[in-house]
Amino acid sequence: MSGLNDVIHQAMRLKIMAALNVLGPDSALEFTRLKTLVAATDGNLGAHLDTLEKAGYVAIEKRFVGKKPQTRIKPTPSGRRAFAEHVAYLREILDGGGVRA
Amino acid sequence: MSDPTTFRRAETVDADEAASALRDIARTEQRTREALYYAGGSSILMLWGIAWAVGYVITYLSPPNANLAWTVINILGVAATLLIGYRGPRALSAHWDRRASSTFILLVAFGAFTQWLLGDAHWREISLFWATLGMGGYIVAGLWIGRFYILCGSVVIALSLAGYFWSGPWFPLWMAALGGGSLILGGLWLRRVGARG
Repeated sequence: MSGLNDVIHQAMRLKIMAALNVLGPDSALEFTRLKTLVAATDGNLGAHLDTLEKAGYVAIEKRFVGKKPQTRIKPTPSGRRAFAEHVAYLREILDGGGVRA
Repeated sequence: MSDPTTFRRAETVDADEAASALRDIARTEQRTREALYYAGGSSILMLWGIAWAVGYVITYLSPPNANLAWTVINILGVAATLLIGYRGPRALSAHWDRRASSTFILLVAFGAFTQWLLGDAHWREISLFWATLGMGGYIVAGLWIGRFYILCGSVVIALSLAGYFWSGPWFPLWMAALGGGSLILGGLWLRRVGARG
């Protein structure tokens, strides 16, 4: 049985992982685009990405495109796995109709 | 784990909260897919915008060469579209499967067959047929991958019909400027709002 993942369950981080999970293998999203997709502010998104990066769920890559700095975020394999397990956990709750710790 | 961004630590989750979280996930996934398709589709839209503009300008300036020009343009356009689908942005190619390619090829084959059947129909009718067929394809695709395609297809069909009925001898230039131009502008807009994976 899957369990509650505190890191992913937070509303904004759940959306971040949902957006990143759609990407194909080795694909990444730009910070500004991810910000729009999850309707976050710069600071808010940065803080949540820090948390996800520390948990090993996302990889953050900073690079320059010409003279412009660009931050790209991609899900790690363990991040995808943790997200899938968390979604399975949420579905189990709905199927069982109960409250789970 | 110490986490300054977690204001309420979730310890239990009830069915309502689980349902709400799953709805959030579905909405975000849909929005992300749409953004990826938009970014990938922008190159295809601009490609056909340029193809239309070139084809119709040649049709206007040199009618005897129009058939040959359109044959070359269509072959190159179809090949480039398939190439962009397969080798374009990785996030798009992950979703570009055989069904997408087959649908596109079937649509083009249906158009070519119908044009062959119509044979000696006037080029204006043939032009309008291809415009409505292609943009009809965009409208259908839009039902699955994003409303902008529905809007874009509808606008170009409306412009093509308006040109067919009211532009007189300027029809090829109308189609080059307004049909091709709309596709190019649509592609630029998609590039702005889309997300490259």
